[in-house]
Amino acid sequence: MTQEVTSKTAASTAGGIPADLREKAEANNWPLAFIERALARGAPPEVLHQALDAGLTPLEAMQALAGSGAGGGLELGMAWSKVDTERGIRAKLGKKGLTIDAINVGSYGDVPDLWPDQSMRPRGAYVRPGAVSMGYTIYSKAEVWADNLGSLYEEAIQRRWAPATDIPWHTITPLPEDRERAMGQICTELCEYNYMVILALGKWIREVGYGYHEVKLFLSTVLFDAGRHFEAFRKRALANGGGLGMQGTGDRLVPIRDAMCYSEMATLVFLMNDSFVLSLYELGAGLAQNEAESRLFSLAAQDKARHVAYGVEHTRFLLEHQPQRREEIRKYLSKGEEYLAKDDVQDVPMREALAIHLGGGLEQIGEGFRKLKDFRRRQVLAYLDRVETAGLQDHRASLWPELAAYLEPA
Amino acid sequence: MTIDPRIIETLRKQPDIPELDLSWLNPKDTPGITVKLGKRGLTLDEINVGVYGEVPDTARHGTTRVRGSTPRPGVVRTAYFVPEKSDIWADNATLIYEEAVQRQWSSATDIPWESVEPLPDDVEEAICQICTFLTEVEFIAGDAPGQWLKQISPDHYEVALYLVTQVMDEARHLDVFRKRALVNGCGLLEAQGATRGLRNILDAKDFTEMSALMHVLAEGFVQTMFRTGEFIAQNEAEKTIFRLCAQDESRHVGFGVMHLRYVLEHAPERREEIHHYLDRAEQLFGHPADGGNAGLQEALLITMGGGKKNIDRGAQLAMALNKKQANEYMHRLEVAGLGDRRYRMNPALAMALDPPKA
Repeated sequence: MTQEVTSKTAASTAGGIPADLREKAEANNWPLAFIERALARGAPPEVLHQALDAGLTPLEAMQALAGSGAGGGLELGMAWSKVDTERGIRAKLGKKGLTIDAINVGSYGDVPDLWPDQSMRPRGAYVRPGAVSMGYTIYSKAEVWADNLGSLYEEAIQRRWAPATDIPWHTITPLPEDRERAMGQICTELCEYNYMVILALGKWIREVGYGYHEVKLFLSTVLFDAGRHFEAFRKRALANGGGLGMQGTGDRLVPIRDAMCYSEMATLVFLMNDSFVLSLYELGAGLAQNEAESRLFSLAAQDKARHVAYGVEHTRFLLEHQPQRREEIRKYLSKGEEYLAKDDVQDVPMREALAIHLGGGLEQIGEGFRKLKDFRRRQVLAYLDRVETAGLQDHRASLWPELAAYLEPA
Repeated sequence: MTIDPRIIETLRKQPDIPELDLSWLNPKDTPGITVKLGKRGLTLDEINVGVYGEVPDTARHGTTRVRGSTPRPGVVRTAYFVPEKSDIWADNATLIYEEAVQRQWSSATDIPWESVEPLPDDVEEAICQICTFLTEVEFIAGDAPGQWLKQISPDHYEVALYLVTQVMDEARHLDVFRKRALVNGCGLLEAQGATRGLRNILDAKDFTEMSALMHVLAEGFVQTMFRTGEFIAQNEAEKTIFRLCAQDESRHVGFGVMHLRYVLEHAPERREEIHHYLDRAEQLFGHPADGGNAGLQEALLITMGGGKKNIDRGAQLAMALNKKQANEYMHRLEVAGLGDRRYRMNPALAMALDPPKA
């Protein structure tokens, strides 16, 4: 194809395509968008006329332009390389590889207190003017941040496990029916809790702006963990001749469902409910009847510990930067505690299942109830310790009465 | 389980025991089962037996009740879930979920970062521009599934479990491409902002709409690009990144194709509706009003050609990539049961298609 530049002139139309070229392209069923792009990249209109006259398809024309050996009309604009972003970045590998914290250098590590950008612009990149909103509603660092996000994210990936193959399922041997059913009941309710976490976090991860990608990364690992826990506990319930139990009351899940801001959800999930679930996972590991249960509950507890660690650090960060929200957070905790206590009373199957598990069988359920009371006390103490570490000192005085009752001397 | 009444009587005589129920020990509708380990361990398919494997065509409760557990009266509703299985299902959801769990990888330690050595400035800038684009757009495929998760009933939990693996995969992709841009002397460059094509994914008001646009079209195109990563990559680290990302992306595309197939098999009246979604999406792809994606396109020319001086070769390879993207997209549509799409595909894509096989 020749590239003679003729003196042909043509009137331009709206969109920048000369009228005669437009007419010819439409007659040959060439997409006008293709013509626009070719012209934008420097292809002379005369060359495009020649391609059309020769009966080439648009793709053939582009290939010919590219193969002409003279730049083919392709001129690089390179505007993208001239943007004013920080250069010269060479993040260094550390002992744990190239972590998300290791790349937070220079301006790329500056996490702003506010990120009003509604686009998907990565922090530190340049975005062309006119980017439309993608609807992110969370643009305040204090609302979502914790200083341990990067390390928790990387740890979650390093400590990954697969329930299908990393649990020695073959070590499960038949248990007495009462104990097997009790385990099924406990697993059923753990499945429900983890599914609620999936429902809640799915909604909120989408709201976080891209200036806080570490939060999105960490929440992704929590979603993945919750899915894996749901899977693993369902498998345990169905692995040994028992089955699933009765649906839970759902009471403890209501405040999570109703959370109207991220910090409310985070308080209820990561600081409150996860604290109690972590204790339950640790109990499960301690009472395991076989290697499979020991490993299952231990691995789940390892995951859950990360979620709780985020909850504590997020609350601490929030209260350090927005101390005026202290009483607001207490109210979320109070509501969560109320529903948890209500759940504890109403959920008879779960209470009885735990008592059978703790006692070692139905006939020992009396002893089991006594141990359950002690377990509840330990759960509440662990929770209080985490809440106070998060910056809500003296929360014991605000603790929901039915939970506080577990702390009274026997 | 039959409870010996003598045990109950004995227990009731013990002090400090609350009133016992114990009816849950003898459930009517949740039989005991014993599953067997398969070649791949105890997978979801192995436990989907009997009543526990019966996936209802319609999910009728709005609670978090786990499929197969005994319903409890009076439980409050949690959400309005998509009720129809045919609106969200894919028969391969369990398989790709298990594969996703097995094939997780760490961007911090599984990429041979030490193989990244100084590159000519133009090539390094081009790689960083590609990485800027990818770290920007990858998590749209995390945000979109995220916003749909709250509408997946636990009766169809397999779909929710698959979607959380996709969110995890996309987080890792956002992470790894950001890392590559910041490891070798350049940095992040120009983001595209929210293009109409990507916004279209979040705008979707129907799960199938979202899946067709995201899994089949957008991720399909990205997957093809990843699979030709050897033409873009300049070192072993980049080759590994593209290979592992392509592996992840294959699962996402696989779900989308099989979901589309399921919809067309069970709700064939939706065929024209789906074509309408794709009409719009294909038109928006590279919409001129968005200015095209000059940054990505030029960066691909440079990396594929091996430098600015070789953009002609780069252009030829880039066009081969475009051709491959279009043809693989068409193949996926054929597998899904939308072979007729060939005759109404947007001309800008259709011009790259090979003739149909006889």
